[in-house]
Order: sequence, then C-alpha cells, then structure tokens
Amino acid sequence: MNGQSFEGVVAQYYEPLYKFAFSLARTEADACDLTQQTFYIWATKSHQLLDLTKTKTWLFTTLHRAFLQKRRRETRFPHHELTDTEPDLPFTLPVIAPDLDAAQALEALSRVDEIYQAPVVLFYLEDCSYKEIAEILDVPIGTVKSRLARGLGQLKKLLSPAFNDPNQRDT
Amino acid sequence: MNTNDARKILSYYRPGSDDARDPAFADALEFVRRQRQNGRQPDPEGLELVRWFDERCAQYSAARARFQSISVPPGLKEQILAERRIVEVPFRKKNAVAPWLAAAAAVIVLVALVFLALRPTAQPSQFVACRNQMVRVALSPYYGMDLVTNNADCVRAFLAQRSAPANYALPPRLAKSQLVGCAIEQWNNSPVSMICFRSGRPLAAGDAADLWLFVMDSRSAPGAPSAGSLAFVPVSRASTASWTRDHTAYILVGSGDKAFLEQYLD
Repeated sequence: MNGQSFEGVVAQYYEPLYKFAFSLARTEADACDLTQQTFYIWATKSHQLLDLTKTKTWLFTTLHRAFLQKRRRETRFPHHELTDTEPDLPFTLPVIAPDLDAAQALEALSRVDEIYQAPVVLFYLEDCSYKEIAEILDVPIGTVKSRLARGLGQLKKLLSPAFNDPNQRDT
Repeated sequence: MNTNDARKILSYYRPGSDDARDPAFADALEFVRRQRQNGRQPDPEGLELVRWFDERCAQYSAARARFQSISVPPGLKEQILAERRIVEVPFRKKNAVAPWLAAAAAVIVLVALVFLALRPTAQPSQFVACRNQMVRVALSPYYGMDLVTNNADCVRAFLAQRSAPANYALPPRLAKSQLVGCAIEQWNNSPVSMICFRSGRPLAAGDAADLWLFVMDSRSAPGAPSAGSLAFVPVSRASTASWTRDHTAYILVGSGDKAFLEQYLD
C-alpha cells in the first residue's frame, strides 16, 4: 500500500478525519460512517496516489466528497459559486463565549450556509494550509478566503446573542 | 508594509498552525514583532495593531479549542482496522456457499435463461443498452475516477496497462477540454474506457466532471452507429453523441442539450 501501512495511516488521521466528519454531519453515526467509508476507499484505491505527501489532502478530499454525495442523496441544495474577485471581503472572527462548548459551536455552524461550513471547519479544526484547504475543496485559494470571510461572518452573527459582554470586541 | 496591510494579511493567520512558517505571513508577522518591540517610541497605530493581533490570536485559539474538543468515539480506530480485514477476506472464503444454495441458484438461473429465450424479441440493441448504462454511470453520484490527472499520456498509459481501450481518437475540440481523469467500466465482459472532462461551466457540488467519453470495442456492443454517422440521443437528463471509427465505438455524454455536445464535435 504505497509504502505506508494502512494501520499507520489510520492511526495518524482517523481522529482529525472524524472531527471533520462530525463537524459536517453532526451525528456520531454519520461521522463514523464517513470516516470508515474514507478509509475503505483508501484501502481499495490508495495505489492510485502517486505522491505520498498528498495523503492527508486525499483523505480529507475523499471524506468531503463522500459527505457531499450523502447530502445530495438527502436533499439538493443550491450551489452559490463565489468568484475569485471577492477575496477581500471583511474578515472578522466570531467571538465564541467561554461557556460555549463544542456542541453549541457546531449547532451555530449548522445554521451557516452549507457551502461555507467546510472551509470554516477546516480553518478551525485541522492544521491544513490554505493551499491544502483549496485542494480539499477543489477551489482556488481566493475562493477559500472568500468563503471563510462569509462563513465566519455568518457564524459571528449567529453567536453574537450568546455573547453578553458588550465590552468584548472582535475587530 | 503598514498597519492596514499587516492587519489584512494577519486576519487569515492561525496561531499554533503551520501558518507561522508560511511565507505569505512572514512580513506581516515581522511587522507586528517590530511594533511590539518599539516600546521607546510608541506608535498609536502600531500599538493598536499589536493589541488587535493579540486579541485575535486569543479568539482564534479559544474557538479552535472548542472544535478540537470534539471527542472521538472509543473503538473507532479498531472498527476501521477490522473493516479492512473484512475487505481482505480471501475470495475462496467468500465463495464458500452451501451446496444446496448453489444448486438452487443454478436452477433459478436456468429457469431465467429459458424464460428469456422464449420471450418475444423486442429487446433494444446491445449498444442502446450499453449507452443507457454508461449514462447511468456518468450521472451517478457514486462513481469514482480510477485515476485523477490532467495528463492525457498518463490516462492512455493507465488504460493500456489495464487492457482498456487506449488508442482512441479524440475529436479535436474535445481534446482541448480540461481533462480530469479516467475510470474503467465493463460491458459484456469487455473493458470500457471512461475519460472525464470539465466543460468549464460551474459544477454542482461534489461533481468532478460534466463531460464523459466512453470508448469500447464496437464488437462488444453491436448496434453502434455505422462508421461515418453520428447519433445524438437524449438519455435521462443527459445528451449523448455516438459514433464508430476503426472498430471502436464512442459515446460522449454531457449534462446538457444537443447543442452543448455539438460544440465538442467536429
């Protein structure tokens, strides 16, 4: 298997992949399914990957595609393509209140437009470079930044009621 | 570099990640470091930038910690590894079917064959059935490319190594489209090469291609258009164009109308 043992790849990536899956699917069962499906595809198709440095990107891309396919089966959602001319949107981080746990943060994320969710999750969850995020989502880096700006902007609006301290700033 | 430039660049910076080693952030990080050390001659804008940057890093780290705190179910790793072992079960074990079950299956197959043989022959041609099947493959959300590349030579070599049709002739305008990969399908126990392209139109989420060329030996699917003719047929929500050249049958499938496909044919 491409010089990498299956066990080694699983040990290195199953946790970040599960967290990515859970952030997108938001149920343990679906996240487990997506993670297992990703490694199943890796077990059967990893020989096609010639550049081993791309293993992480390949796994995240595969999981993201599996999630999108699952979503397409459930419901068709509109796909709003942002152009590359919008990378300079205002970019502010949402303030996540100290008492807000992961479940509440993910609940807020679930109300962000679907197209912005994966970039936001990858931004926070995993130490993927912007280039890797662009490869995983199959969009240019400028589009990643546009989607991040919009997604984080929406998340900020959704979380602001939960943040009661008017002295806090997030500029 | 000024404070506005630094702020704009660092708004994408993620402390604790590889961004610290990303050259795209290096100058802005150095600018903040200089402002921080500029204690003797405090510059209000510089101080405000440092304050903003520290606050932003703290906010990012707090949010990241929330997402990172998602707990992974115990036993998931073992489950994944166990699934791999199931994938690797030797074929002969999977084939260990009870003799009575095999006999029953043989009887069912025999009855089905007799039924098919006695049916009135109003079947579509092999080629029509093949074309319908290939459209289903192309439009299915579940197909995966066996090779993802934009290198035409790699695609041909990959297909040739697997005894799939590789000596195909692409219409010149289709050849200029963006190649994204290939897969190998089967029809009548013969390999069918599936070459995937992008037209350049926006793709639906999750889609990797919107133009697919299927290539097969014309003898494996009798009924293909005769040499020199071109057949346009809508199938499902796709359009198809079919032709034959040098005993090779071609089916071009596109998610669009006839005019959409015509622009790739000469």
